[in-house]
Amino acid sequence: MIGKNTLRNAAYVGVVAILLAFMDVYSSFGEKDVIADFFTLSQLLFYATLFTGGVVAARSVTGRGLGVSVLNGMVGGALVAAILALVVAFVDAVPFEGIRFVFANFSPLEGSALMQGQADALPAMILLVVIGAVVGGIAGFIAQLPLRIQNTLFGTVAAVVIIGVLQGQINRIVTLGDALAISLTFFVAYMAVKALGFKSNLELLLTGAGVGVASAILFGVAASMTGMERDTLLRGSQQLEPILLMLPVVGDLLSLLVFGGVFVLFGLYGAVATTLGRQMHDAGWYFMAVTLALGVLASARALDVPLALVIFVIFGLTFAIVPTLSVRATAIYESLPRPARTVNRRVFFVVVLVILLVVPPFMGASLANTLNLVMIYIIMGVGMNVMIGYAGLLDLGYVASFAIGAYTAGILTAPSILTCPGVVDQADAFNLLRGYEDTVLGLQQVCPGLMTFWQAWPIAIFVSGLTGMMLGVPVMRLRGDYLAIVTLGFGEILQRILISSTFKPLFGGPQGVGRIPVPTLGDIELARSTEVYYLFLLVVALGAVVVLRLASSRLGRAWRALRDDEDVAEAMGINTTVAKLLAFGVSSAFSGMGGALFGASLQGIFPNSFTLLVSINVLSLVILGGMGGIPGVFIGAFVLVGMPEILRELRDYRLLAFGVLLVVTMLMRPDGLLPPQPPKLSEQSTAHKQAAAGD
Amino acid sequence: MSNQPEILLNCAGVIKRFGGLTAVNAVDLKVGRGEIVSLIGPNGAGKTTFFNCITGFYTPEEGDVVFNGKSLKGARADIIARAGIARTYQNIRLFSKLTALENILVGMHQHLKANMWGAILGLPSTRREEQRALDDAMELLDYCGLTGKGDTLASNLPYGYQRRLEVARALAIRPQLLLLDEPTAGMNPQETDDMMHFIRKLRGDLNLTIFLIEHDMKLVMGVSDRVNVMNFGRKIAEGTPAEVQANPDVIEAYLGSSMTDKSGGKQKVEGV
Repeated sequence: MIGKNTLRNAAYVGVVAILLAFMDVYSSFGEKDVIADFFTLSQLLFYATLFTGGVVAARSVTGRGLGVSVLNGMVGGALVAAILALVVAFVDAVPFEGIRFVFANFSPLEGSALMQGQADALPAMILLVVIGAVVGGIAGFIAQLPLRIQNTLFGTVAAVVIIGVLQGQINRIVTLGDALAISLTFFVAYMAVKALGFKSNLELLLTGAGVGVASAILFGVAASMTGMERDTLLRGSQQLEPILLMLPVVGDLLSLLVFGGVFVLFGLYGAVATTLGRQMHDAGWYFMAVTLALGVLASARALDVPLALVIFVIFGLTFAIVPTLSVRATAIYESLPRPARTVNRRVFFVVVLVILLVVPPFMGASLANTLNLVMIYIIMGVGMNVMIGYAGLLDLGYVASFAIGAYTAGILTAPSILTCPGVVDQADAFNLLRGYEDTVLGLQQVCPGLMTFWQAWPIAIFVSGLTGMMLGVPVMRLRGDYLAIVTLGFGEILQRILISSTFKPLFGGPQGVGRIPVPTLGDIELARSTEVYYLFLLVVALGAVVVLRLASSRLGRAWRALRDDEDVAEAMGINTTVAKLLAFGVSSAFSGMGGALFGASLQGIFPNSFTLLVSINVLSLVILGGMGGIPGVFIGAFVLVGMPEILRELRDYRLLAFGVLLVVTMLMRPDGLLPPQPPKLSEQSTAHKQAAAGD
Repeated sequence: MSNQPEILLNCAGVIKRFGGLTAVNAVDLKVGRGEIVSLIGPNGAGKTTFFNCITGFYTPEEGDVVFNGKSLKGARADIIARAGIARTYQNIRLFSKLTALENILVGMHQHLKANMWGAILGLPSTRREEQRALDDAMELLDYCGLTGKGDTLASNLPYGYQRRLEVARALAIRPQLLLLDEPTAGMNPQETDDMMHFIRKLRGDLNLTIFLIEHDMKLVMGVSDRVNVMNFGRKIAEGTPAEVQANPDVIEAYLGSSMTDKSGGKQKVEGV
């Protein structure tokens, strides 16, 4: 009845649990609510550990029926719990200072999830084992469910947990009213098209637009009638600006048009989504689910039990129905004629663009900061991808071109010895600027930089591209590890030069270059993170387009041929020297482009920002996302750069959580999260197009 | 060999050494335009090394390789490919993570003119060129019997198809001279037969000159105008298939001296 690996596998989980217990994971987050007054993060981690034990045990006896699975799950869960109970006994018996001496993080067990509210060790231990058996049994039961139900269940729980953990950061993004309006428009348009069908693509679009107009009128009227500028359900309880629903109240023609436009757009998206490929289709549904969940979250001060249930239902339904809908939509998409497909895809991209443009005021400065950082890494990742993903060149000194771009733009735009020698020295500046109220502004008037950001930017891109190519020359014959080591050297040399006192007048030594003016658009200074966001967005979009085009061009093929087999590529007539140098140049130019923007957005550069770690991070995100594809870089940057920022809620444990995440990801998806798909070129051939047109 | 064809490839005294080993030792070899010429010899005779000297992967220490009247000695591999020499490999060397069509398109590299900026800006001329190249590649795919396999990754193709794709990629270079390094290695008799017909068809349709290394004697004898034999880095014989089969040096190279003594074996070579 008990599988022969059951105990062993559960014991492995138990060992991990011991470590987690002494790292104080089960006590540290006792204050941190996932669901208010109901479930803390510590409890969550505790139950997750027991559950894992149950699943691992049940998986050891697959295919032997529900009863055996539940039994083994119970045994596994109980074993892990028993091991944790031993920890409790140990802590009870050994003086606290002794444990604290070894495990610096450790705190007393009072209030820990391990005590389960008991004051004494023995009852707590017994309770632990009982809970372990119950949780393990549940795990054993779930492990026997069909895979699709399991996925739905885990996805839903994960979504609720993520929202619960992050609620402090995300509870003011969208009001319930806005969320309902948007998602209902999408949903109704989707269902309308599904129910009514469509004869032509035009009909499809008209249905979507019609639903959009109808819901704009409906929600507009509803919003003005309920007087929703006051505290109502639609308004939400926070001091949010419910932008969508405020517009009809404002009442002038332009805002009315914008207001209607938003609804029409989401109506169109709902209609078009019925005929889109899997990723584009699913993105719509998940976006709506998240919006709705955020709206629900915003309607109260914290995520309490009823709200958690609502969010659970939202995600449960979404995860349950989307796969089926997705298959259907993809089938319709594939059967559509090419022009209609293109139109529908464009509608999708317009919606995405509008969402991206509208989102910054909603998300607030801290999320925008995170997003900007992610986008910097996306830009670098896109460039790095040219090197490692396409050309197969491993460049560990990649940060050098990032620094070169940043310093070039910084020195050209900031007050420096180039424009007014002597003044830049801080002490001089203060004496000189006695009369001015604001020293920085004053300095910029007395001693402006050589040029504006917009003039310096192309120069920075050019300079970093060129130096990248120059660094490529001496390493032309090196491959793989050797190239990595040499480029790593380049990166380190550059950093030493930047810090060195020899070049201090120009590069500022360890202080770097300060007082870099922010980019301006006319009179508008792009100073705040929600404003610089747009600049980053532009660059990311531009970079993605350029690299996608290059990848499918003659040069891109040459790069990939080079990566697969350099000798054969040469025998096919490819000048490998030129191809490699262009890879160095293009990727460095991207990196420099990001660097210049980085310096300007922070209004200062410090040599410490350009360490080897940056290169390694960029490399990791490219590998994690899936080498050789642009979507992979996006996902990789979000996971690798965005996640640690968001995981700040986990305090000291964030790097641990992050590391575990990386290991699990690479074990389960060794090709990365989104490995590139081979292009379907034959569909683009003239013969195929004619055949398709003939049908 | 009654009417002497124009000489396309002329290798004179080619020597390639690796340390103390002379892998190719003073080999003279001529290939006339429109001929199918084979190079045979026991394993380790230096055949592939000789190919590598022609295609620029190795630079011969001595001697000269003249193609179309121009010396190619010391030229880079891509220059030699541009001059009109394409090759396939003994152990298939496709770009494994590229699709079949992309492999062929890589072969067309030198015939495409678009530069980086054309691609970035999406210039109409670049698009037209890409479209034309793609259509040509589709045609080549069909010609080599790979219809419908265009979007498959090269590494996912069955073995026989991979061999054909290598030929298709080499043809995309639009070569005058095609070097085939053991085109039927690992093939069953039926596939070998198909390959033999395909090689003949190539010459007929495309007016190609073909120089091939091969171990399958049936194919060599069936398809070649002339056969060259190498052993221990030296060329030991040259002639029509019949002449070579009768050559005692060749028989000795393949079967060892004692065997020659016993049988004088004229027809023995056929079975090797």
